[in-house]
Amino acid sequence: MEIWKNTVESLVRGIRDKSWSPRDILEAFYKHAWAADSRILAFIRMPKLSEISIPDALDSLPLPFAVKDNIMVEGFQTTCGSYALWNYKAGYDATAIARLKASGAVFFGKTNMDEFAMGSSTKYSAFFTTKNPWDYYRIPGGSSGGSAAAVAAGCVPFALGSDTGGSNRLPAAHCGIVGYKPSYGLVSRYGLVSLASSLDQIGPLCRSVRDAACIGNILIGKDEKDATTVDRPMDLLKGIENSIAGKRCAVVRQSVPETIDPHVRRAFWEAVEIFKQNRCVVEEIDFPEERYAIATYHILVPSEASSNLARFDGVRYGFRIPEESLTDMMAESRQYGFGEEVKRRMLLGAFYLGEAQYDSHYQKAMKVRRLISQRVHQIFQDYDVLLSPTSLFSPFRITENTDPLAFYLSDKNTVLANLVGLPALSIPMGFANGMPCGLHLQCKPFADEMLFNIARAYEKSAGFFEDDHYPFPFQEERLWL
Amino acid sequence: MAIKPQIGLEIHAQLLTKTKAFCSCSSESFDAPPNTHICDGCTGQPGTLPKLNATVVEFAVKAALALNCHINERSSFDRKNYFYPDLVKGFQITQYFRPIAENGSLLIHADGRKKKVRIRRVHIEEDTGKLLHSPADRPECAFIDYNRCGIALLEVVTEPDLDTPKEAHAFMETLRNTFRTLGICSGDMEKGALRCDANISVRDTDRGLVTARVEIKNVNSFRFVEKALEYEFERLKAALLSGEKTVSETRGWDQGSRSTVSLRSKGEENTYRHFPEPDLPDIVLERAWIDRIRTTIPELPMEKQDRLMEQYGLTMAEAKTFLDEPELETFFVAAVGQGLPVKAVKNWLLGEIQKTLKERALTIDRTTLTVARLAEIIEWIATGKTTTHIAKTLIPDLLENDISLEQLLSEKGISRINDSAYVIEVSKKVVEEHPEQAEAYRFGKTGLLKYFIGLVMKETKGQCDTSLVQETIKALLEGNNIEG
Repeated sequence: MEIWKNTVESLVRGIRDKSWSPRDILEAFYKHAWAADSRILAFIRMPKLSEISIPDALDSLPLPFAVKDNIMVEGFQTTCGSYALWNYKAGYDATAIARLKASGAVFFGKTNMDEFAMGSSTKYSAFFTTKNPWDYYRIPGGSSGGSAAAVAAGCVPFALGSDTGGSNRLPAAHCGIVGYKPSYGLVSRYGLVSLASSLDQIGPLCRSVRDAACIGNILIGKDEKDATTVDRPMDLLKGIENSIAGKRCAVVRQSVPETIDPHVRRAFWEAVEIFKQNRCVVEEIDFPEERYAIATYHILVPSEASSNLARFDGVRYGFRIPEESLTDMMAESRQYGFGEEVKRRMLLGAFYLGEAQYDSHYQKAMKVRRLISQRVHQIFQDYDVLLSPTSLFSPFRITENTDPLAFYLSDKNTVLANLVGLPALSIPMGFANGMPCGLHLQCKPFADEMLFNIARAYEKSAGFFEDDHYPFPFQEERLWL
Repeated sequence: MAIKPQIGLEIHAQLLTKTKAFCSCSSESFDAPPNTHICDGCTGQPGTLPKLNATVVEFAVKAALALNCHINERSSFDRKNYFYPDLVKGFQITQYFRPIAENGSLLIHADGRKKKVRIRRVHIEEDTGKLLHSPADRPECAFIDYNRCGIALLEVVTEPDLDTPKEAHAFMETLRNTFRTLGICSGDMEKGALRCDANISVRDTDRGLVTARVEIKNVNSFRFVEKALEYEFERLKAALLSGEKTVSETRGWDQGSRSTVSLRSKGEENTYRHFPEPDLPDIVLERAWIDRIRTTIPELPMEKQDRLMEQYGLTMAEAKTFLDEPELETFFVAAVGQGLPVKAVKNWLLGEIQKTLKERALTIDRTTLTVARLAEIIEWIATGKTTTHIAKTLIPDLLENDISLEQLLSEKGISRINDSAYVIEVSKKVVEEHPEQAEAYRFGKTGLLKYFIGLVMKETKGQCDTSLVQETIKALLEGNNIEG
């Protein structure tokens, strides 16, 4: 089997066995990535092979990894998929990057994303749209679409993304890989360009649940530079192979609505059957407040984003249009530096925070967020895990959907985890309409270990993947044409 | 008088923490070259997050305790959003919804009486950078210095309890002295370590009329705060009397024209879109910790002023001077502690010595004057070895040269001061040279005595004891035997 088809775990094992050297691995991935990326356009920029240092075989993780372009890697450009930062070079490493580098991993390239992570398709990238490796005419999902496509296509064994409302999980589902959003506060956000600070989390995109646990273990930990991180040491691999018999699973009726794609629905109920076969208790429950989650999310995120993105004013760095007056310079730079979706959300955010709307919008959304959070905690007193499809639909065709509201709905099942700070995973649950689709699992805050245990049990029983044999979207012949 | 101003103050004090409020850059950067005390955090690089400096909270609690505030055991940060190049993140981190402390008071002395001024709130925020518009060498440019950006500020907001510009002045002074005593703010207004915005409106209690509220921004000295308020009071009073409509606006003090000028009307102001800062957790304080801080609060200026007045019999003004000049106060206490007479010490310190220090912009601890030397001066005067007048002329030298009094006197050629023979000689000469005046004196024009004394003093360059000269001249003119 080609080197690039291996998971993180089997690559590390291969190095220990001396089957491969870190150099072999790096070169194999590099060669494959260049070829594959010409089809899928996952990367915004890759360093030259000569610029990448060869990992040390003695380190715990001597592998290359890709990074979503809103996470700082020292000395490398960080564009956030926007012209506003087209020339911005990071002066420091994000904590997540520093932790990976300390484990011996080497940075391998920056991946495409919706501008400032606002979107769920990569169509809002200022530069280009990434293609779904399973069908070049379809979106990979977003906003971490570049990272997900790169992992799915075998360009890298794993990648980092950020998740504010499903940005890791949705593209993972669309590309047939594993996307993890840790409990809020587990992973440092230092060095992640903030979209909505109270919802953002960095997480890994991997091919298997065990890989995600392995990378998660490296990322998790209290960081002095991020005051919102918590000191909750955990080992995601501990007990990951345990039996899940007796676990109580809930399916929220509202997350499998009438409007869902029938093929996705069928795949989901098949997945639920597997939990039953594993002697889990599966119950359907009502969660009427869930219907307010997406509205709440779309008030809070633009509000925080309007403030977080205020620093991109052309004064100190980034895109600038020279003008006679300062006000004009700032206004013009922002006018032309940002894309339509970013401006739309910032206008909305500024509106929600305005004196006249603060109580009726922002304040109310905060109240609903607390209400939803209370209700979710009640649910978790009775259940261990919430199951749902990650997305109600298979990925859109790139040309298909141009309505922002339809895109907002692609996050319907994923925003809850961000609003409440839950740990969540999207893992492959088969195919619908010839495209991968994802199973979405959520546990109560800081129950990340249990989440991985349950997800791993499903992954094993579902039988889509034999050990270390994960399906790749394209045949080699096709690729090397 | 039925027309009264109503004044409230908003004071920003830079906290003397070693590092900035939310990053680890040094905050001691006033004299540093531009942009040498900055980092990724305080220049608002994307991806950076604020990290609260614990000392800032400690200092804020100290201030709150000194201002008798209710301290909120849970307070939080908010963002104040607006665009300006000196504001790196597009928002300022402040405490808008839940400040660290509220509902306090500060006792001030104004117009010879005590007055309690209510404090509405005390909260933590961060300072902005500094803009340098059109410097001489590059008039087409504006430069930005971010050294100041992110330095911790404490904002103190009073209720509109101040009834006169003088009271506003007194409040500022008392607050500055309190903060200095606590060691949390240098209080240097000229360096911008303490800044004041004043709100004033004028009421006609008889007719039940009130003018619009005017805010006077960024005045950089106590005196100018008072002057600006006086000016604004007169302006608003005139408007009130003539029935002219006043507008709510922000005005600045123009020292050149000694008047206030309109900067902008309130209607044009931003709404700041405040909302809770999601990157910082709440500040949660434990009672026990607050109590521990309480025990570290030293004697505060107002308490000290009362004590000085009582203990040493000082007047309010004298005690206040010692409050304003802590180095003088230390010296005073040390001198009196060594048994020197209170009256003499205080007269020297608050008289010639303070005057000279002011002229040279010095503080007494940075001079060569010691308690022992002041004791020497006082003793020499008491025993007649020198005169008050001469000693005064020696003060500048005593402050700058570490030599003995004796040496100094001989160096200056003024060793003969106590030599009565010399005094007699000069006096005789003077009387002989002015026979007409001497005659006039003898015929009863006794006021001429002063004239003669003046002449002798002039002749001896003021080195003689006045009383000795007076005796001698009197004796000469009245024909008494002076030799014996």
